[in-house]
Amino acid sequence: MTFFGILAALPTAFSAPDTVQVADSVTVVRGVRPTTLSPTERLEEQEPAAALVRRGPTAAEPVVHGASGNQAPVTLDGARIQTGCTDHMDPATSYVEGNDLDAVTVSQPLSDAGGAVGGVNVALRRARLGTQGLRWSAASSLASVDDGARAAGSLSWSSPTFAVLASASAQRTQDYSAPDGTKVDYSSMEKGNLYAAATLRTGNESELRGTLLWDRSGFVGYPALPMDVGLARAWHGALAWEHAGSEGSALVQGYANAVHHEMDDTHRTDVLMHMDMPGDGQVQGGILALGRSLEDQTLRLRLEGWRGVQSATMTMYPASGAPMYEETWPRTRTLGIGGSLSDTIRLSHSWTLGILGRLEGRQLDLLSETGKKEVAVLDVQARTSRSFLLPGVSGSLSWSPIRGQILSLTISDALSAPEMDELWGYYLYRVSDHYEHVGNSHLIPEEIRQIELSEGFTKGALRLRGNLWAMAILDAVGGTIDPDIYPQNMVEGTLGVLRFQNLGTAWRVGGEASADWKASPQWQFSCLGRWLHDWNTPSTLASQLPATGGRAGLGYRPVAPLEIRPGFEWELPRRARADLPGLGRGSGYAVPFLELSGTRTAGSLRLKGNLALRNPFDQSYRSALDWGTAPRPGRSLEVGISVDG
Amino acid sequence: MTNFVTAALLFLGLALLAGCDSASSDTANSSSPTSTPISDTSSVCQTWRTAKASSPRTLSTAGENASDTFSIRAGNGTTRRITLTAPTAATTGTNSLSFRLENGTTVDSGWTATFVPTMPSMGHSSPNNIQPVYASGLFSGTVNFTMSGDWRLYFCLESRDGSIVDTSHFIDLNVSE
Repeated sequence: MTFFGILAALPTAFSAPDTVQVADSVTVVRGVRPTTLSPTERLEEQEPAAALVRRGPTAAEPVVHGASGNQAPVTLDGARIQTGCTDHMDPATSYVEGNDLDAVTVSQPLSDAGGAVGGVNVALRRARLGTQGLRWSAASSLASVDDGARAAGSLSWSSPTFAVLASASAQRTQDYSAPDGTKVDYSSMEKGNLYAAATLRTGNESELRGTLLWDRSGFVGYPALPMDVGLARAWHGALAWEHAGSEGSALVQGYANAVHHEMDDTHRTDVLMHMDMPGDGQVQGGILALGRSLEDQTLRLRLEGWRGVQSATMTMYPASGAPMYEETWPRTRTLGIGGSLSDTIRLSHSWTLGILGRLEGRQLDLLSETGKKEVAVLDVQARTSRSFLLPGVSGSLSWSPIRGQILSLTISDALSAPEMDELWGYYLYRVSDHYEHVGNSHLIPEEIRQIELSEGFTKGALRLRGNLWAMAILDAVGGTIDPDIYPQNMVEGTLGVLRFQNLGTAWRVGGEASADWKASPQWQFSCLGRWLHDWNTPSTLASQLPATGGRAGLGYRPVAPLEIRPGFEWELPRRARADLPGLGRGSGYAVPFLELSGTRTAGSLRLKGNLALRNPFDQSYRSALDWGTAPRPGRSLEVGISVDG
Repeated sequence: MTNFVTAALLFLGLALLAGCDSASSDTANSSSPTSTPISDTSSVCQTWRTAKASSPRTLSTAGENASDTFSIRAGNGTTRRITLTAPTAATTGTNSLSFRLENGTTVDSGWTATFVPTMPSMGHSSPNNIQPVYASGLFSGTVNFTMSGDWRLYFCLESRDGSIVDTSHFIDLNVSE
């Protein structure tokens, strides 16, 4: 087969064997917002395998089975992005608004981007070729809990050969209202977002696509911290050519992105010492995805190369004396090249085998001279360059005895590289465990083994999903007190200094379930839940393990344009940990919500109004502003309106 | 339960007979975060804490060095005159540090020296310092500064026989990147 023959036989996209697509078609229990749901809102409402670690009024970070970062990276259309905050306050999902979004995909147990636990891919909105011509939409909403105002609009134009879209959104909230009516200081935010995409047909089965995303947040308050985010700015651009043929498809994509993040405490009056904490991350990379559909199997190949640079510094200003400066993330370069090959083989009418093999080489180099001197203080044998070879393999056997039912057993074994801050991080304070953390350049990769039994059942308007899984993390990286550093290095306001080490084996087991049932044209029901239990989890990771919880909702449409959606969210109390006394403070909850929406069509215009009441009886919902995995809503009355033309 | 109480009372009685003051011992342990452990110096400098330095004196800076000449009264009533000279320039990271200790005009090898770097505004020290040893007329060691800014380096000087101890001297440094 010639090169062009191979290109003509490629799939539209590569995905791991066990991929869960959170598509627009999935029933949305809570969808009152006038704009489409943001990536994290979609995950929260539709995907039980992913939980959110909330760190304030914005910027929730998705975790898959309690994993994030290298273990479960967030990608934008498959592109890697490195964030600029040492405490994960600017996850990649925080730079994407609902207007920019087509879908969010959770992959597990392995992800395209090399996550050994899984991954979250944010598929940016495409300008779709068609004959719709000029379309537009505008939306606005208000929320009482934070006096928030949000506005968004988009404009698109499409023809059979060229399509373009542009969208913009802005939001501004005031300080959050606590249950007793008082305002929570430092909990407001401002945010603006611009997005543009274009598509050009280059052949009967191929197209060229470009996307450009820009996002800027300012004055983002973090009540759980002694400082806020003064500026969080990101841009992402990608150019992709895709061929989608009947026998396969090909995707070639180049991308680049940059993130700039600045902490700000100039508005705080009660800090011991003011400080500046800027951070940056840049990535450039390319992806080649090829595929071929044969009679009984589908082959997929994905190659990837990327280069990233990441840094963060801290300057402290004592009341008297010279400023103090350190590089909390010494400037580091990461080079990665990897490939994966998967094959889905139909063994018989009811049996299907899926296999995936992945190999990635990753090189990390400490570039900063100051950083090299810093790590030498902690370890005279410190290494300033590390190379990792990261293999991964998974296999899935599925049995579908009857139409609509599928039972799958999946196992995987993969290595996961240490995070940059785990290698060379320098006195990183984490509010999650109240320790400072320093890197260890001798860490070895974690080995992550997973097994999952999943069941899916679809019959008519009923759709059920459920799974049970277990995970072993060998050589799990966590922080321990290093006698060479502690107690000599007491730092006021923290419990001490932890150095990252490869510890023993950490274990997790869990399960997820979801159900959607459209009982009649008037009634529908939707729910999801998750459960997780862990052993030997390092304290540095414990705060991102989700508590057992879920949500359920009912949809009732008495007359065609009107829909009533009552429901509730719940979470059990978090299991207390002796080594993290602050983590056990969360209490369980079950809070209701009620949503009303109505739609009116006049000519080519479609007008939609929304009204929602959330969490009317809860007396402690302020915890949503603290550090943790409980994304409980505040008591709020929301009203929104949107117009599509 | 009875056996446990009996054993506890017996232990407490033995401790009192042996003059063991567990309360003061615990206090000492918990309040020693800034002492740098050393193996080849006397117990005085091992347990020395900068917070207990009395009548602290900073060294006079001249060029790249700071020095001070001072007198120490020994336990036997004699007075020794000491000159301590140390560099003032340092950068973030590991710094070699040599200083001269003179007794009159003679470089004195019959002393041990210990230093503790502190960052007063942060309330912390630094790890992995190598305490100075005497060789070729100089005491040489390695001191680590974890970040740039104002540091204070305390010295503990002790004669080999333990009869003279000085913990009152420090040098202020502005550590650059």
